[in-house]
Amino acid sequence: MSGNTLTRRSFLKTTGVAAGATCLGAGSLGVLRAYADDQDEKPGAGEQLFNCNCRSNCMGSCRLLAHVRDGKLVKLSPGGYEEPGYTGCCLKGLSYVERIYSPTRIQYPMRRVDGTERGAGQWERVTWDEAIAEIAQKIQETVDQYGPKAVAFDAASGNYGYINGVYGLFPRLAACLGAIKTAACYDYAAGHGIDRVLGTGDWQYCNEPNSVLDSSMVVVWGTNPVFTHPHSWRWIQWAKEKGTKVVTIDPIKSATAHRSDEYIRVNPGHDGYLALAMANYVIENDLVDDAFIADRSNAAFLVRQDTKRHLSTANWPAESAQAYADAVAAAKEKYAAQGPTAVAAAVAAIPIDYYVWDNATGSIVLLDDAADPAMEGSFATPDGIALDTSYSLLKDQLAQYSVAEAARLTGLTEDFIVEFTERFAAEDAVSVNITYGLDHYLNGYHNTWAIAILMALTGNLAKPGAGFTGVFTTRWSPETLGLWVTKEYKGLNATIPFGLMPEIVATQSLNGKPFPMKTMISYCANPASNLGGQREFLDRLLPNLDYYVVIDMEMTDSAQHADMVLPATSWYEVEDIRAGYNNPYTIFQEKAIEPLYESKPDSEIAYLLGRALGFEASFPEGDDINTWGAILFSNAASKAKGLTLERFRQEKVIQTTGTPGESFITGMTSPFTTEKGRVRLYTDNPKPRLDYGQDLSDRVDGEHLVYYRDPEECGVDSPLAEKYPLVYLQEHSRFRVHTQWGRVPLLRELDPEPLAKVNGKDAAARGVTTGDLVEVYNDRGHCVVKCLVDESIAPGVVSIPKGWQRDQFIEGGYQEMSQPGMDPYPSAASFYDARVNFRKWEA
Amino acid sequence: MRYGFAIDTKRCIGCHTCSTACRIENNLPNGVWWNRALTEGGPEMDTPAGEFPDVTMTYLTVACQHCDNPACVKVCPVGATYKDPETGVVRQDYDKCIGCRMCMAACPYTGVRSFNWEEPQHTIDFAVGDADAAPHQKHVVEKCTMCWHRLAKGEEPMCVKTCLARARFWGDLDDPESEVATLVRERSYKQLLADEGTKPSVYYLV
Amino acid sequence: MTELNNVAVADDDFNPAAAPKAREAAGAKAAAWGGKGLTAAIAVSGAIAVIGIALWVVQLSGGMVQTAMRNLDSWGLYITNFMFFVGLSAGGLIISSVPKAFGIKGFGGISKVAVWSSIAATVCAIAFVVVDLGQPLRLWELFAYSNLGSPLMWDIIVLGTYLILSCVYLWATLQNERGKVSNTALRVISVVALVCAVLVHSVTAWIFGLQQGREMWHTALLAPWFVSSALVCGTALVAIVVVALRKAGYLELDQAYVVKLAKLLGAFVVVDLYFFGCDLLTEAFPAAGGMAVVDMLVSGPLAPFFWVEIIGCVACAVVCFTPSLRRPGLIVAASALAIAAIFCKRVQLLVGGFQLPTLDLPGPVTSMTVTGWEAGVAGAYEGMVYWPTMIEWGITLGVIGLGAFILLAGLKFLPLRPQD
Repeated sequence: MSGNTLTRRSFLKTTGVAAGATCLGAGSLGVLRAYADDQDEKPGAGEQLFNCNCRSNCMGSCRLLAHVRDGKLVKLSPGGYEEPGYTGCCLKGLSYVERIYSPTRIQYPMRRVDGTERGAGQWERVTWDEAIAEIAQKIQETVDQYGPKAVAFDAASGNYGYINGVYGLFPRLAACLGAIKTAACYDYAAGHGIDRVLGTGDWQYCNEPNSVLDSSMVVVWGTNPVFTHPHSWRWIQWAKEKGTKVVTIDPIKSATAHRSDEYIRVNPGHDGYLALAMANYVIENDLVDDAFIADRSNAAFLVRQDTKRHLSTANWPAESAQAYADAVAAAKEKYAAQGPTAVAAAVAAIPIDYYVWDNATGSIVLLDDAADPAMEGSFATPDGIALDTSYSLLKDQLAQYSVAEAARLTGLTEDFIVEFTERFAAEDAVSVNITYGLDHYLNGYHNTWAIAILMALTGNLAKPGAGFTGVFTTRWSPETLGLWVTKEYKGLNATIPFGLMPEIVATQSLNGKPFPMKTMISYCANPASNLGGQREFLDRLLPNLDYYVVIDMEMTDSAQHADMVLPATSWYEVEDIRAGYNNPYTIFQEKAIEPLYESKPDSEIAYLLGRALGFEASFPEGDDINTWGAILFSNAASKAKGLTLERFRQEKVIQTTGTPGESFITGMTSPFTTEKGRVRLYTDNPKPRLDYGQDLSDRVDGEHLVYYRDPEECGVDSPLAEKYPLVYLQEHSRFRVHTQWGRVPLLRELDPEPLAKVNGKDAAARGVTTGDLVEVYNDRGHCVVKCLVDESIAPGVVSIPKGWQRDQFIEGGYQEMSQPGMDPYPSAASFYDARVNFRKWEA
Repeated sequence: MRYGFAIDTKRCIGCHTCSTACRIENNLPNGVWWNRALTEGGPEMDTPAGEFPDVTMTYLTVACQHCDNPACVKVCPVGATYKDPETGVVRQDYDKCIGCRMCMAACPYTGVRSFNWEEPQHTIDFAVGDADAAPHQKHVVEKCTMCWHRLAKGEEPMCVKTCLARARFWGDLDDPESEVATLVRERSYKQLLADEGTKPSVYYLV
Repeated sequence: MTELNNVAVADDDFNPAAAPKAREAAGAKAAAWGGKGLTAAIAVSGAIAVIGIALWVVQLSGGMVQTAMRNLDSWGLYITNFMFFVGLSAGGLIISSVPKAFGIKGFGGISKVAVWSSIAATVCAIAFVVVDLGQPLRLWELFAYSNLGSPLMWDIIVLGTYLILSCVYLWATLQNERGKVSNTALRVISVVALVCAVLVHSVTAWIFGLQQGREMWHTALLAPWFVSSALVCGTALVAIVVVALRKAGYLELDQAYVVKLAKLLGAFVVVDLYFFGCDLLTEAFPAAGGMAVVDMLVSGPLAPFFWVEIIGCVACAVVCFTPSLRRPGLIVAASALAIAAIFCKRVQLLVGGFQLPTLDLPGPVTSMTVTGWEAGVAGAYEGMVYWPTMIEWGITLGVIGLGAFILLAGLKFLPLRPQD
């Protein structure tokens, strides 16, 4: 098909723009216009309403009202939050009705017909009793023959209910067995990099979404909220209407870029360098927020040249060091019985204080005792330990990052980088919307680490309108650990990243030592679809796995390749509790309808399996949400807020983070939990997110100061660029959350098939145009799809929207070509760090 | 009263939430969309006009424009399509419709009217949405009803309620204090096919 | 000249002296005509009509989704044929009534056959509307709830009136031959019939021409143009019918009058082409929005129909105006070309109205949206936005069969032959 044969008359005819009085957006009507008439839907005749919520990994967690007539869920409508700006729902949430009653829904347990291939689609129906008995038997056999660590429970992000979701009751079973609970690898790089500076761990780095109203500039860096988290975008749009400048930095002109005041186009994978060059420019041109550096950062903290650690009471002077060592030993002894997590917590609780050089006295003192701490310089202890300040080390480190090289790598001009940096530094308050995209590379955490440093140097942290936004997570947690630990607790290893599983299962080893891995149970997960480099799962993991169980609503790629499939309930068929993200509420899910067909809630399945494996004590009959609720709300944090199951039943929605009418700012509303609450220009003790025994000894020294690392494959200097000239992105679309909603009929009408989105120049160079079938390929695999010429895609980029499953492709699958590798520090999926080529496909 | 819409194209992100809400609320059959998010840009959905990176793209959500001078009402031979004098809503009487599709030929806004070319099919075997939404018939023409069944209960159309971008405004255009009237007065806007003379009641704020 | 003595047309129909003799002759000729061939043809056309009805029932029960019509191209082969057959019928009646109305000699003998063909065509036209309806059982509503402002309602009224009037006209002609209706009365009826015929096709044109939403339709020229097209195909149909009947021995007609018909046909073709030329120029000259229409016709998806019409009409005109070419065989061929050309014109108009969407912005496309929906919106408009399915061809043939049945049965059983 060539070009557009349609008339353009409609354009002429629609431009009858009537001039109205100039208007500054919705200012005259109030930016925080309440949704609708600020009231929830009323039940229609014969209808009952139930309080519910969406539980996928979409950055929404919207409150929904389920309308039920004659025991059937007929409609979902957005349920109001106290802050009406948070109220909303999207086409996915609303169309969940079609997921519940979908003809593609798994109705009963099914076993792969003996003798048939995995994935061949030959199933026989079995009863629950048969299924549970068989699974229990297989697990027991594996445990008996290979030990409990040969059994893995795999969850990802399919459901965030505390009871039937990824935090639910399967880990209790894993703990009773002593089995592995694999660690999810999605989206962790962003937090890991930011944690180096803010100490905010995996998930707690963002400010509340409404904070952007106080920003003078919002930088949407490598993510596309218009498509993927429109509820966050709503706040950014309101900020824009109030005068906030919105800038999007992205390799493609995303839908968000189209709605921004400014679009900055960069080559994929080098954003970290850009941020470092900007940081260096800020320093070299005196644009640093000196007050922030002095008051809120660890600039003055001294670093020992010998150990590369801060000079602290834990290691100097000798008596202090000894005292600390003793305290650590005591903690280990006291808490050993409670497991490594308790030990770690106890050790972390031992107070440490840090030293600085006090210019006033010309000596080393503790931070709090210093009248005039030196930000820069080299010093020494009286006993001769050479020291530098953290800030000096950072400055030296940053000096190598030049605007010229940043321009070369990103494709921007030097003048622009300079001008943008000056603007950035001059802004009153900058929010960086960071989730997700930038992190989907092997240098993902380096990218976000660099940006965090830049934010620190410009003082864009811990004040209204400044910091990171995008995945604002609850700052309250229930006692999920309590849900998992019973008297029959044997051990729970949760440190093996799922991304390593193909290698582990294929070689039956980890870190070069034997590691049998034979049986896997996937719940709230679809690893066959969602793991990067799909052929790893299909060709290396599956053939070497003895037994695979999948629990799901639909026949996903994973379910299709399982040995046993168990039907799970939908979100509306159970009671549950979910703490929202990107809103400050926790919502109680009422059970709106009875489970359909023979489906069972995850919690019930865990209990059946638990009892079948002999753990009646840990999975007693009669346990229900009252039991689990009591556990969940038993921790101090819950008690402090007066949270109980009864209260949730009554109130349905409770604000569990922040204060109504205010905006939760990380580092302001809650202090940073870093050393002395200071942001880290230098990271004292960089640790990998997961310790699965990997040897990082040759890297540790290099992880204290932010640095630039090239992406693995997609960079401009990559040797692969000649063979595979296009960078492979897999944009997230508004029609799916990963693979969820992938088979909803009405959504398929809007989005019928996977497409390879390419720029017109790249298409023309290969003699293809919209509608032609193309093969997109690299050394890892291929897929055959329809081509779409899309001028929002830059030349040199191919994007196939994420979430299509293998049977929706003509051949192969889009996930085959993505990047399976991970950096052992964040152990984070790096999908976009990949290169491909494409060609016209002849059948 | 003259009910109409003001849709803020600066806020609209073309997410199809309004279309989906309408689809479910009115229990629309498979393949039928009364409201559609159209891309104003390139030749395909969600593609922009121009050449990278100088590209532009916005969205227009289009359903029946509930015109003040509706072409469809003029031509329906049996008066199955008519403009409600009290509210200005252009309504459709399914029982009267003889399925001649003259209204579809006359309406300049191609695609807002749909004909049920077969017995309405649904993926779910019971009616979803509002119990009061008019049931569908084979071989008649249908279109946006402005959620008449909701107006009758004092509620606003479902698409307005569910717009997550808060881009849709609805109310009485004849009431100068109403939100829509205020927006139309204070903001620049455009209308679809304005020089056809149909006087649509939908204003796209630009 | 003996031929002429046997042919009623030798006596001017308005010669009262000849009347009694003519009546006798007419009475004798009122007996059934035609042998086994005609009977077989009647049976076959009847069978085709019955199959058509059966297919129509299938269409109604299984749904019109079995046709190729969809939301963005909501009319198709049926309405195309509706236009076409209204044209045929109006044209036929005009040919029949003009000579009577204006006292032109020479066509009287064929006027009854012409009227009957016209009636058959009218029935076809109405049938095409009925098979296009989604709810034909609600037809009565057209009379209970009539919206008198609707061009479609006007057309129903006018078509109905026209059908009745055609029958009255035929009856009046027969009665006049028997002396029971005066010549003046007949002349009056023929004038009314003529006006009605012109009105029928103008009103049919207004169904399309008054719709401001469709670039190709919205022109004041459409009504006169439909009339001229009607004259073209009506004349051509009459020419074919009478030449065929003459060959079959049903009637006798001096070649001179066939030549007159041919010249008339040629003149009408020229007028029709003139109107087409005016429209094309008007669309093309500003090189603005209208160019889309011109491109679509001249080089776009409708080009085959456009060029068949142009070439067909020109060829027809050449035959009609070239004395040496005005042989019966060629005249029939030229007439057939003219009819085909006018059918092509109807296709251009109907499909052309939908080929250029007013709102061409891309959006969701489902199987209900447009015929070629898998190719997306852009793809659906690449070629012709609409092409009929087998059931539409079947039902169309059925309706045509019905018309043929009516025509042939009338030829066999009704006193349509020219008076002796």
